[in-house]
Amino acid sequence: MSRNSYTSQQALDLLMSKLRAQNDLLARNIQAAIDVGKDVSEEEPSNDRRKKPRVYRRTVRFSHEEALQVAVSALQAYFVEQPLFIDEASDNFAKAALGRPTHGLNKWVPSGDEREPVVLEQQGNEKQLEIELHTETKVTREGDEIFALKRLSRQSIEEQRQQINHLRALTTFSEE
Amino acid sequence: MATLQDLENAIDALLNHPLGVGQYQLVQTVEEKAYEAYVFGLCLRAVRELGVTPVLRGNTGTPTPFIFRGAPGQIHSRGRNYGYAEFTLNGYDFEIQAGVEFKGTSGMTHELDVCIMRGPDARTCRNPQSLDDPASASLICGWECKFYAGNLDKGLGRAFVGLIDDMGSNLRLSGMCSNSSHPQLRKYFQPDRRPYPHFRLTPLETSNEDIFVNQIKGELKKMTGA
Repeated sequence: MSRNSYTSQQALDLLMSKLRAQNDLLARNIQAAIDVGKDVSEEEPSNDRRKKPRVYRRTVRFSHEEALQVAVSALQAYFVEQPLFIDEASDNFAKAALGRPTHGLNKWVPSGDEREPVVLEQQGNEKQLEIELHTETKVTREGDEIFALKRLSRQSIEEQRQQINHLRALTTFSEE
Repeated sequence: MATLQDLENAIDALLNHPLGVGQYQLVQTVEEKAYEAYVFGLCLRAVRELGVTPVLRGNTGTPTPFIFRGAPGQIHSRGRNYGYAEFTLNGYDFEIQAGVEFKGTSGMTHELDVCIMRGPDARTCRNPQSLDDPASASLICGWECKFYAGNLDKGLGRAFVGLIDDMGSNLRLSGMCSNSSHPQLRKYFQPDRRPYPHFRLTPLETSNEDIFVNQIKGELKKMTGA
């Protein structure tokens, strides 16, 4: 007996309609992840009893319940993993040192033989990480030039993680 | 028994959370690059765990901020103060770079999302007298980094195998890093010379992070006799 009073199809329809209402691009990305389907092994019995059955690969669509799990995993990637990438990158960059050149106004010419002399600073301090939006070869320049990767609170990430787990439980229909 | 209203409430809570749709809209243009920053950070961790402090540098000065290229670029580019990291292990100089193009053995250029290369070669390529793309022989480790919400695209794996094939024999470690996975690609990467499938490489799977970091540590130790 199902633990929910709704079907997996109703749940999928509700999730996708909510996603479409909030952000069409996100909904399309998740629909695309679902529409890839999955590979299954099919078995074809041989007419000759002495031969093994023939096994072949077939791509089939996900069941509604499987599609729900794909959608929830995709939401986890966007809402939990992405903030964690920034958080962990920030941690690892913080533990590195900044190298400030020590030669002042004298121009340093890089060469293979010698490393530029630097003093190490800011080890253990948060570093500012940025991603270039307007690349060197872009002709038109509009909007922001860069995107600053900003760390989000661990508590917020944990809250989303719990909400994903809750949603996963509400979209699981098979009895364990 | 859960009702449809319970489900609706759970979906609303998830999507309307500060890290919900609003955050997605904010970072969707850089989601791939944020993943590269994460993998770059794991390389820094590997160096640190070898007892060495990685030093963050910039092409034109102190990297405040540390800037990741938005598209494949040249190691000597001074268009912005692009960041990289340098470290020395047992007398060998190395650099960790992101989004830098290398000259393949065929002469064609290839971008490595994140890589570790020989430090002297990187410095030579930045010397105004000898500005150039680094040769494939200067590459030690190279990784393709892909953030995917669904299954990985098979074509990416095929393309990366082709890229690695053109990077010569000095390359000691290569891998495809992704938060996602693909069962067929895992098999495709099985042969000895093929890149390592670092699938489900995410902070949610710390054992996979450990494998990635330990591979780098092992290879650098072996190479430098450290």
